[in-house]
Amino acid sequence: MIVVGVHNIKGGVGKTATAVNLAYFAARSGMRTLVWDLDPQAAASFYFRVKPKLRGGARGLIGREHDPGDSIKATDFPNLDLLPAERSVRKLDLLLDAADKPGRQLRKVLKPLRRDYDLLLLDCAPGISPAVESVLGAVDVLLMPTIPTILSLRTLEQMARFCADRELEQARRMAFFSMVDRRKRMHRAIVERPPNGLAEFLGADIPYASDVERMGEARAPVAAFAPSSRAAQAYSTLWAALSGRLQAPGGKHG
Amino acid sequence: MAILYLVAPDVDADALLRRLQTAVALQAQASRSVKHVYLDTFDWRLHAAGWCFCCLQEGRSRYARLREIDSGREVVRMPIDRLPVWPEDLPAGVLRASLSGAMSIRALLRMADARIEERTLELRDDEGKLVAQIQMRGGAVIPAFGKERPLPLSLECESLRGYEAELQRLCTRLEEIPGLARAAGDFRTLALGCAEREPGDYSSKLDFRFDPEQASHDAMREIIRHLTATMSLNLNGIRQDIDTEFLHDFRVAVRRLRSMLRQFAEVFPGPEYTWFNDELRWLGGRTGDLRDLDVLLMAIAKMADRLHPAAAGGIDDLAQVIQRRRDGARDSLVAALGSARYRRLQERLTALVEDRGWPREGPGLDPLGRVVAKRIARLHRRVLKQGRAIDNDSPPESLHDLRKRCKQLRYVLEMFANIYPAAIGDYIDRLKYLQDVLGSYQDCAVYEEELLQILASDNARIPTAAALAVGAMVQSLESRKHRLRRRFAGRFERFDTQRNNKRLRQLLGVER
Repeated sequence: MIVVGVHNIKGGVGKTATAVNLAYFAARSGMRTLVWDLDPQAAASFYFRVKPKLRGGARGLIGREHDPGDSIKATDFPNLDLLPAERSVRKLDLLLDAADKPGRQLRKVLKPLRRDYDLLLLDCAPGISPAVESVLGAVDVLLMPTIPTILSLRTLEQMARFCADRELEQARRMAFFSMVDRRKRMHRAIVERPPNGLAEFLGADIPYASDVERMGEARAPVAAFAPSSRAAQAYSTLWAALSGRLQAPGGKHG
Repeated sequence: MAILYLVAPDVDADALLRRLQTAVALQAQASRSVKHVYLDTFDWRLHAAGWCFCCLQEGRSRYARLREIDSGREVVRMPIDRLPVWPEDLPAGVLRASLSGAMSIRALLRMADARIEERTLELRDDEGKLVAQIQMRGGAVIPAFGKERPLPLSLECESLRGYEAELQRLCTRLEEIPGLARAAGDFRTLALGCAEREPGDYSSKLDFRFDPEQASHDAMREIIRHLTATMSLNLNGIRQDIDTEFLHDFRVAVRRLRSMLRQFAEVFPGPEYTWFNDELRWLGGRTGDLRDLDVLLMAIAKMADRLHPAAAGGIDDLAQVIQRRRDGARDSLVAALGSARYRRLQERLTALVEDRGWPREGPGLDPLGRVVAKRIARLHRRVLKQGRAIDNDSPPESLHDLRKRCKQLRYVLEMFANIYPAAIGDYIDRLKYLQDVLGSYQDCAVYEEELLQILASDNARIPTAAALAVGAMVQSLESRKHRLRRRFAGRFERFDTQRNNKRLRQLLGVER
């Protein structure tokens, strides 16, 4: 099972849309896919129409009193399941902070899922926290949607320093540009010349598109309700870029 | 899990649909035409492993679906270009690995094709989330020959992970609707049944249920019936060269038949015995070449890993040489199986089963238990005598002869296993343990002989690399033979114990 954590220190960059839409294309390609909604906002759960409920709550999961499989729900899409969020997920940081070796806790929780899934996408809450540290210890890839602005690029630097400080370098850090508005000169300039050394840039960007915002109304991945849209095509291209990298040996960052 | 309901023939499908939509609040999707192709090996290995494997085609889209039979859970659904025959026809991944593990060296066959008109009925919760769905299906099964056979209208309820309780509630509501009857199995079971197939309807394993008091010739007739049916069922697979196991099962049936004739000759009609023995020997001989080459091809592929890289490089060339010989052996066998001589053998075996010419008195009427016990005891004594005579200086033929004797004993034990207590299992295990080393030794000798024959053959024009591979393999086989020979004494000691010998006598109820 390949584990991809979708995260950025900044909120509102399109993390959940990324996790949901990539999961959709992964499942369509035949990969048994699971999305784990780790964000207390439970946006991924909302998009998939799954009621927020975790057996035993976050404490039961992290303490491994309950098998995560008991809370998994099938989505409306073949090959695609969801481990939903609920309010107790907001305590994840406290639970992980109190745990021995928080960097390894999540990896232990994921172990029973490895048999049943080929791909796990973690929809993470924004920020830097014990939860993020645990995610970094569990993932094969950290995928960072990044708006092409100077401030957003700084978050990539911050994440690189965080990983180095915590000696959490085993995950491949990948990034792509999200909510790109090609009418803006700065967006164009940054997309055309992404910075080196901070992450592997996938070379597939997601435009700022109203269809992505409509996901909240349709409560489904973009390709499910607007398959011919620019946004759907863009996510399809992003999935192709990501899956190609997942099959190739690990590259250096940037 | 999947739960199947059959719709009574007098129920109007449209009226049923309206009722399902109003009474159970199901939302109907548009009807679509789907072709289902259910695949498994000839001996149902995927089913035995708990899998249901189906390829579905809708318009130009084709996808493969692997489902756990017990839970009904869909494990894999992936797009495919064409129907797979071997796991290697699929891209690397869970589907290929799952099929490969269960199928081993058998090919996939189409067990049933169905042309379906399908409509999905969805049950959604207050969030609009899909929590259960029903596939309403009608259509027909398309057999390999003959006309389509209509499928009854059915509803298959599929559970979604995490929504099992919702499925149960749905089924409770369905069972209140007149004209719906819950059926055993799932839609696949229904489609296979219409194609007159049933999972597990072919197996090479023996599962006779004899009564020790029944007349011996009744039992013999049942055995002949089963073994001749096994031969017939495997013929097509041999002719079409689908996979190697069709011939293997055919040969085992022939050997068992011949062994049974020899062990219980007194039960058979007198003059017939000799004729059958000769013809089955002929048939065994005609199948031997092809089988030996099949096994050799599999063996050299395994041996390649143990060879020096310089020798291993010639394996592909060698495999091509063997493959050409195999093609010739196969043509020869197919001709034999199409011959008048084989047809005559089949006809006379059928007549034997139909009870023509069996003696109405004599040993054939003796109780089966007594006849079999005497035979097993005699074979056991012969195994002991032959085995005890083997020492370090004995020629290889002595192990081969012992192997044949052990095989005769094992065939009899397997055919009549049910008339003895379960404790006979320990005796059979010890015999198998002894047979393993004898069989492996014989295999090495056969491979060596064949490889040297290939090398010596003027017509083979063996490439140099292939000749090098042969040399290296013969050396490896010779070393292995020595190791196996050293193991023989210990294995035989474990079989020839006072306890084992005494226990067999007790189980058989015979005197020393």
